[in-house]
Amino acid sequence: MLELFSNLAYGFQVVLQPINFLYCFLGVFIGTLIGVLPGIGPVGAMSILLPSTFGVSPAAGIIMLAGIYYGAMYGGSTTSILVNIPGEAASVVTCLDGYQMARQGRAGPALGISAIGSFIGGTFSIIALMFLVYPLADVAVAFGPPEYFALMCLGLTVVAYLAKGSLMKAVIMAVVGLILGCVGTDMISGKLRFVFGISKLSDGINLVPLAMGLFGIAEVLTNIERPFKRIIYETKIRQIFPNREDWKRSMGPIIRGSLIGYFLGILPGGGSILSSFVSYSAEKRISKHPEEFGKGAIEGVAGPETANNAATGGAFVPLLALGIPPNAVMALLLGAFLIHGIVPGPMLIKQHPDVFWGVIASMYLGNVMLLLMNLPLIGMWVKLLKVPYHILFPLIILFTLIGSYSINNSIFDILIMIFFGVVGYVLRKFQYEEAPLLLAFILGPMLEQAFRQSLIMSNGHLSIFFLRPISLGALALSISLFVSTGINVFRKAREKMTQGYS
Amino acid sequence: MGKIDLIPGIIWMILGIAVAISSYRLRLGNLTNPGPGMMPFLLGIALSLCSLPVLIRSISSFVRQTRSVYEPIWSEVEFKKVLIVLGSLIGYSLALEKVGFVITTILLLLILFKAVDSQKWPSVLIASFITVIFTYFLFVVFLKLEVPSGFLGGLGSVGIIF
Amino acid sequence: MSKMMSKRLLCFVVMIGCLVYFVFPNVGLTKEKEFPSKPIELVCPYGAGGSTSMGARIIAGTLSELLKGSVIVNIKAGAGGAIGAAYVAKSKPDGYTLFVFNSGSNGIIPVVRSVEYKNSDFEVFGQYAANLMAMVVKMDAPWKSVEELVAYAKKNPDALKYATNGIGTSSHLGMEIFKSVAGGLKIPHIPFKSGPEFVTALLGGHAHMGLFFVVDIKGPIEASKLRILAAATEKRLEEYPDIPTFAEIGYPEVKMTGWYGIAAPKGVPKEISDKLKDALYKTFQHPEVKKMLALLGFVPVFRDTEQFKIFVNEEEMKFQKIAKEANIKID
Repeated sequence: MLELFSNLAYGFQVVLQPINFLYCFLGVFIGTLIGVLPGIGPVGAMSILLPSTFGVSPAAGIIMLAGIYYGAMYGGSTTSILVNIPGEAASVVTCLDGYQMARQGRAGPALGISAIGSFIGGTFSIIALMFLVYPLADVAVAFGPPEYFALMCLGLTVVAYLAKGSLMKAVIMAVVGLILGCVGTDMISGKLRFVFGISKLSDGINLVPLAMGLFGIAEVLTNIERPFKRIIYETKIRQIFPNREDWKRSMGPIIRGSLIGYFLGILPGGGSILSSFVSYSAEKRISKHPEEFGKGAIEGVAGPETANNAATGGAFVPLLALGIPPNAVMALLLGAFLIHGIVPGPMLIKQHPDVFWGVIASMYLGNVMLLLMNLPLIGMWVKLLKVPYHILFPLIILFTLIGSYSINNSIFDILIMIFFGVVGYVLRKFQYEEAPLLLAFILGPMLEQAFRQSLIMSNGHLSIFFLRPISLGALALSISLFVSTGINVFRKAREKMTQGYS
Repeated sequence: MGKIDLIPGIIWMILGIAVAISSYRLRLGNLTNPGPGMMPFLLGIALSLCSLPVLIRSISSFVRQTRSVYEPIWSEVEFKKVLIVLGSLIGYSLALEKVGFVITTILLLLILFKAVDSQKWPSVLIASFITVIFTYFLFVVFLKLEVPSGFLGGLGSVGIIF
Repeated sequence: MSKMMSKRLLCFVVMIGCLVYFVFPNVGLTKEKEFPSKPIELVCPYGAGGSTSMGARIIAGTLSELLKGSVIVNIKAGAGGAIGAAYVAKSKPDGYTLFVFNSGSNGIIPVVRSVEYKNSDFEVFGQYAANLMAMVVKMDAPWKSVEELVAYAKKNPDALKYATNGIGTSSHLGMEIFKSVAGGLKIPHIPFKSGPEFVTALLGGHAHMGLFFVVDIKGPIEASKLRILAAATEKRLEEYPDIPTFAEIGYPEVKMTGWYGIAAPKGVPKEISDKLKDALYKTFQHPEVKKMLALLGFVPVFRDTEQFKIFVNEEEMKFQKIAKEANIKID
């Protein structure tokens, strides 16, 4: 234990060197900016800035790149809350309640809790990273296709918890989301599905333009159709900082979100998006007033935001312990390590302690910097909301256009965004919610892939799902959740019928 | 739900059937060895099934003549603005790579600032201009992203100015 | 004119002036339009986190210096590399669009899928790197050699499974050749989506073996979690000289390498193409470039235009043969 602290102290010595300190700041600053700007994700920025790390020490380079990653998680919630546009795929869930809070004049508290939660989640995951790297890495590889299938099943039952209104409509949205997820190349057989000859669709519909359109553009269109004066009225600012009630209600979600985020972040393919969704539904399930979710419940912001930051720490586990990157960001970081002559893995601590502990210490420092940067900015962001909508919305549109274009330098992504913007707009008219669609869209392909891979593994025997402990457990949980929701729905429907049709 | 739900109900039903039919053409396989068509096929059927309650309820509200829940949502709607915005967005996407970032963005901003809520010409021009310059510096110079330069060979990436 | 109006007019003139300056950069500039007079885009058909794009950035950096112009990496990922390739094949052959010509998009993919381009749409300049492949199993697996593995597989058909990073990849094709030359082994294929997923599957025991790029498995090998049984290369691997090649074991057909070069759409004017060729040759042989490529895990291999053309032809024929025999055809 003492050794740990002395290592950490060494790490702080490394990171407090002026150049490393500067690079840390640069990284988190750029990261926040990237996170705020919709569409552009950390991977793009990191890869563009990678060459500029060549001339400096490995520690400084990695520190900066890591800073961009978790900085983006901080910034991503800002636009979600302010204008219902997810700045990052992981911030989609924050739109649900965060934006509603902003409409009630409570954008300040939403941003504040989001920043604090991100800080706690991030810091927690670093601490966990220090202690639990190796044992957890073993757990991570134990997750094979059957376990992923069970996990995705669990994830899909979460859909029910996302629904504000009609469950039937949420289910329909989920089915549509699953169908949209089938568009593209079927990875088991290689066949193209629903591609209609458009080669750009052969990798499926890109998540980021889809989310930006469905949430952001649809919101803009919905706002435009009404006279502008009304919109200003609705966003009259009431508070800048979270009050005591907010704090009290957020503590639980933050703690749970840290745990959920960290553990899900370890799994390849899991990560921030999944952890934010799971956190949201866990909070809604546990809450004593679930009907508030979707209308501005602060738990719906605190939990997911903490979870997606905690997931960034978790994502380092496979990279540092095994040398395997669990997502694209980590893959880039791996490349950065390699270029500087460092092979991440168990040897990393022994061969380059300055890099390992320096990076860990920089994560603490970076999180503190981010907190200090973001809190004062809240006042500024909140004032931004006061800008008259007829000036604001062209800017919003422009930023989303550039953001979606920059993902792949492709017009097609912009068109996807516009298309789903229209779809989202129409769906809202008919009172359908977007969140279940998005969640199903993300989980569906993973579910199908895991199912078919498992069947290959077992030579066609379905028993494989029940013979392995983790998948059995997760499946049992999903089934029980499914059944209990079913019972609830049934009960409510019976009540309605006996009360008389409305 | 009300009468108006008939429209989405019908759409889901048709969509579900269409998906099921086109996935049938892909190999279905069987349940222990599913092919690429199996999952979308099942989903298409599921969608059509789910559309049934929606259809039933909306038809029954036609029968009962109940007032639609949504009428407030459909009144006071200024569709013209929505269409203008959509049209300009689509136009922007199609023109962007041919004409270049700077010009198309200025045009887009002009339309959005002006046509959607009447502002005066000078302020619209200035606002559009400042916005384009600001976003250019932010995205292309600072973040080193790329934007299309179009046939006039205008600004596409940092190399031109510096 | 009134003061107000002249102010407005001034603003207007300034604006138009800026517009002109920005939009018509060549106006008023008297320098000769020498190549390159605007940025060159190097299209990389694989994603921003991967080693291919990083290799591309290294090449782009040195090439910029040599050409005295900027070379920007443009990622156009998708369809196993087909999207980027199709984009370049259709681009203007003015020398401002280059491509990372590689064994994925230009080797295997055109053989197993219907794509919108042919290799003859490109004009290759040369090769700069290769990626070696080897067969790996988990460290505690009971087979210490390929022979033991083959024996086990023959006795227990369909019991073992192999993992790859996708259908129609070199990982997939390589294993299929192996299965067929080793006597028609029955080992079902579990495709995964990426290298890391492949490694995780092996580490977790969800698949028993696989053929993959040495660079991606170096980490786990150093950590003693994976073991190489044989290398699918001409010569033994430098870092692992004790491991035999497949040829030594008796399967000379099992040879798979990823290769990377630079190409442009066919029809680039001779002066520009000569200039590019010259700069590229220097880049590929530059010691710093080679060092960085090696760090990333590539093997810096230099083939000039003629050699590369011959090599690519041989590879095309090889892939066609394998795909036909193993009956791999996706669309």
